[in-house]
Amino acid sequence: MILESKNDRIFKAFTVAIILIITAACLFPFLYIVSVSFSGKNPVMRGEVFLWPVGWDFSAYRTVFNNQSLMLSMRFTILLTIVHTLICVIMTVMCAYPLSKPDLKFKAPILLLILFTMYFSGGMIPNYLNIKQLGLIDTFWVLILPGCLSTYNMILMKSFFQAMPREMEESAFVDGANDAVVLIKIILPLSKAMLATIALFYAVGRWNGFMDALLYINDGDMFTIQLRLRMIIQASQVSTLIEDIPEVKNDVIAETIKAACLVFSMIPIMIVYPWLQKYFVKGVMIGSVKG
Amino acid sequence: MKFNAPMKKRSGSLAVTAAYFRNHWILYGMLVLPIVYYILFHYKPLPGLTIAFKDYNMFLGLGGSPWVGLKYFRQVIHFETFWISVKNMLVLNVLSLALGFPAPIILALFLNELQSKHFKKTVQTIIYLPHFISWVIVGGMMYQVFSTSGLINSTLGRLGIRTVAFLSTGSWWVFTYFIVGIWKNLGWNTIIYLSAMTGIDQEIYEAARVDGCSRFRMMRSITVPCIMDTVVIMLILAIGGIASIGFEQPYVMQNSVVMDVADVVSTYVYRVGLEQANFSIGTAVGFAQSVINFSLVISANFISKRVSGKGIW
Repeated sequence: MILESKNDRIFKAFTVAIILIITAACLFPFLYIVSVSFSGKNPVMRGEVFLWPVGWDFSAYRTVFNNQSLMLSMRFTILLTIVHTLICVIMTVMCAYPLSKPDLKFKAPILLLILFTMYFSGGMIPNYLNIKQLGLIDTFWVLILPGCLSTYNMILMKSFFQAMPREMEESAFVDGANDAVVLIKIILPLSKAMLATIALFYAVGRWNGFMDALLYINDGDMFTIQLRLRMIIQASQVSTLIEDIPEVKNDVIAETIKAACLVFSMIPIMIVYPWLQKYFVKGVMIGSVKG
Repeated sequence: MKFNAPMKKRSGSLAVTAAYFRNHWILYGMLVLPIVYYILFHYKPLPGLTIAFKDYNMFLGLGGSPWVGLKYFRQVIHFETFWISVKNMLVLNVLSLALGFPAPIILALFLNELQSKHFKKTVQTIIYLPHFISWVIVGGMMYQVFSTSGLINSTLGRLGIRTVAFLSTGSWWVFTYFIVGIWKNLGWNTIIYLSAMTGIDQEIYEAARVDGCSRFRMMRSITVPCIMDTVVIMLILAIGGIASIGFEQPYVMQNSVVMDVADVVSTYVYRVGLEQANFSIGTAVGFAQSVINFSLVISANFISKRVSGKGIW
């Protein structure tokens, strides 16, 4: 073992310091809004809250949980995310599996048709008019169908299938199995980790996405959590949010309620974050190896 | 894995093809829904691009609306607000590239120096977190942190420093835009470089250590050259994306006071095209941007292939 030189130790201390500063900067905004959401209105107004709640107060959360439209959006978005993810994963497998076959006839023109859409799209207005023409505006399906297959995820899945050893499926074919049986009985059980990765990609995309809801949804019953949140943040006064419970109107200021809404809508992501991190990192690595 | 593929049968005969379809019709059956999806949601809107060359009338429909040639393109190049949105997009993209591109490389180099696996893992868990938070939430958090009564200003106030209007002065808004963008993506963007670094042969480091190389020297002379390929590809791709900008970050961050620095092409198309229902103008701008962007991405890929032998396809 060679002893570390003085220069090495200085360098190491320097890198650790920079990393600690960056890590803290990533974490502080989260700690801050959590602290604000649990603080009393006066300490927040006076700017006394830093990284720990001052004057503990849960009324902001009472407001959030009593707000019908926010709870409705939450339930709606959870349902939406589950349905969307299921459909997306099925579509992705159905598209990626045939295209992973090296000897598929007409593979090149089909792939060209698909890849072209990655680099050229009609743009916002032709897409909007198309959705309108299809009669999808203000329907549940407009938040599912237009994004039910991502080319990027499909390519990931396809390269995963391609990297699988072909001997197993070949012996199954000899035994008289068809493509569907091979896919369901042999390929998919071996692809669980990859399927989980893709499912999480879709689920997070759906949970966090709000542009489609902004463009295509006007009906308040179908506001996703992100769209609802956007409106709450934008509203200069919080009165629209707390009109159901007038008695708290004078007690809670907008900042603590906004913070509580933000924290509330982050809960589902935080719950799945350990899995997210693990599988997403894998997915990005596969994508980069492929690229 | 192309090399696993069996030799292409040079049959070409109809009977062989027919036999293939008979044996593998299920594969084509699976492709039906995906192809319908691509046609319905990616190709069917394309004829709508002709709206850019027409006086679009909702009641006459796409086919019935009269052709007007380049009328709307000519109109839009006289709109000052349009050029402002182009300029803002380029400014934000160029500055984001200049600041946001090297930052994750440097952070990845530093992370690579960490010897404690546990510490590294914890740091990664924290710095990846902002990537999973939606832009709407990030926008909301930004107001809490940067507004005149927010975290930063109240801290400045406590220290006796004058407060800064981060969100309502143009130049400070641009600054906030970068900080927020970097905050959200810095950690996540290190992954690709970290994965490039795991591919470096450890024996090179051993040899350097025996020769008495300092850690900084190893980073500079071993790690950096070894990830250069990845850096070049990422840079070329980033430059290829310079004429396009996401919608969500500028949209959630902008406010009416700073529109002259915050309005970008994507939000311009939304506001003028959809909100004000100028479909033809919105489509014209979107179309021009699509064409420019498409050619930039294609050229970037071409250059990437020439430089490093690797492209995105």
